[in-house]
Amino acid sequence: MVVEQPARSGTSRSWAVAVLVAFLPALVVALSYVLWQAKLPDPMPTHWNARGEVDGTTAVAIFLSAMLAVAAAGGLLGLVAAVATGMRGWTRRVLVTVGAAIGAFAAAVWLITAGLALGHAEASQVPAPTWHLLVLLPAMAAWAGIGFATCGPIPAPPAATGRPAATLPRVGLLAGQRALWSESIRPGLLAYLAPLAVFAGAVVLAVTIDPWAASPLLFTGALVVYLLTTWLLVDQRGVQVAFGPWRWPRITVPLREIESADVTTVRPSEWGGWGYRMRPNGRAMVVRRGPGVRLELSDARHFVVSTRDPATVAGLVNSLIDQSRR
Amino acid sequence: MLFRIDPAAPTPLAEQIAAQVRGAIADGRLRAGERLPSARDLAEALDVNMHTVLRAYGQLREEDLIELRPGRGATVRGTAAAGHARLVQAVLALLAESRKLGLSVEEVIGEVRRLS
Repeated sequence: MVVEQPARSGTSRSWAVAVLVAFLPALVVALSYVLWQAKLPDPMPTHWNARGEVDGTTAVAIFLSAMLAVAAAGGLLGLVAAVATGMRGWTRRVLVTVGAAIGAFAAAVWLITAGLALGHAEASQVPAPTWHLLVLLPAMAAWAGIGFATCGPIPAPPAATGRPAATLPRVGLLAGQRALWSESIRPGLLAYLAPLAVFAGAVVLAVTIDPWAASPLLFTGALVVYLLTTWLLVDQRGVQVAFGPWRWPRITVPLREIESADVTTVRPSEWGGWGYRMRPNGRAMVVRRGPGVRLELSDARHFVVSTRDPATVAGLVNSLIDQSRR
Repeated sequence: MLFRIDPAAPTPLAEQIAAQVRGAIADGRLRAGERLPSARDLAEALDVNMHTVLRAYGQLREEDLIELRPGRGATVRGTAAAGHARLVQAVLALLAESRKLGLSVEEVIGEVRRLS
């Protein structure tokens, strides 16, 4: 049996670290300005045209205070989330993560611009950013990830109790039998329009500006293509949704949290679109409109996932629960 | 597809796994080009050794039912996958029956020729 983990929402020390993570970008902006002050042109270049020439400048004081303000706003968001009482663990985490992302974005924009401008006397001599744009998004995501991680372990939801109602589907598992449902779910052809549109945008940017400007879009498009193939795995561990050819990352709904499973119809309109969707008490993996399975989870939560054979999948989940709570 | 194995049954686990995949291809639940779960997922889910799964996948490849490619995992082969799987099932059943009668493979082939 799984040992029950007491629900904790992070210690005060881990929250202090979270606030530090949220404010560090603002600190980096301020510190780098103090260090580089003498070597920065004033005004600083803040916009380049398609030929890589500077066509927009901003006074150092204004650019600096703007970036500092945005970074500090991100930090403030983290601080408020950390000290506010009566906030749900997940709301807190999301706010700290978003705060960190905002802070990292402002700091990265400042560092890229100041780094390029460093040592140039005139704004017009500063070269346009190249690979910097490609690292901007991953760096932001990494910093947001660190912010999320500092919120401490995610409190484990309570275990589900009892067995699914007898009226719900079953697959008939004998005692000692083991089973796995494995399915690679591919979306409809229309879904491939999304990465296609992103790549088309990238081509336009690459032609009109330069390949580096198109790189964030190429990165996003490749990510979308990767995420288009999803896997549904159901076994004694629970229900897992895995992404991409490497089946990573994974969303796991542990069997111990599942009360029951039933057949349902997945409607993208109910979830605001396709993909991994979240709303206050529910999550869904919407791959296409049509058959799916709805899992009732402990704490009145639910999880909906598309599948080609909902009767078998729901039946397997219920039979596995019967087996584990005998 | 649904994999279901019974560790208490006399049939070896690798054969049970191979028979499940073969059966699913034979009756069209698994179509050509579809991908099977990774050996690791199957091993963890069914609580069997990974070598057991790899042995099952290896046998299915010998039977020309699946393709094993590094990085892509196991996929169902060919266009006439269902028909071929049914043929393999029939051959395996024939071999099992002839083993019971103590016939050698040559004798079985002779019998097949005589009746064809």
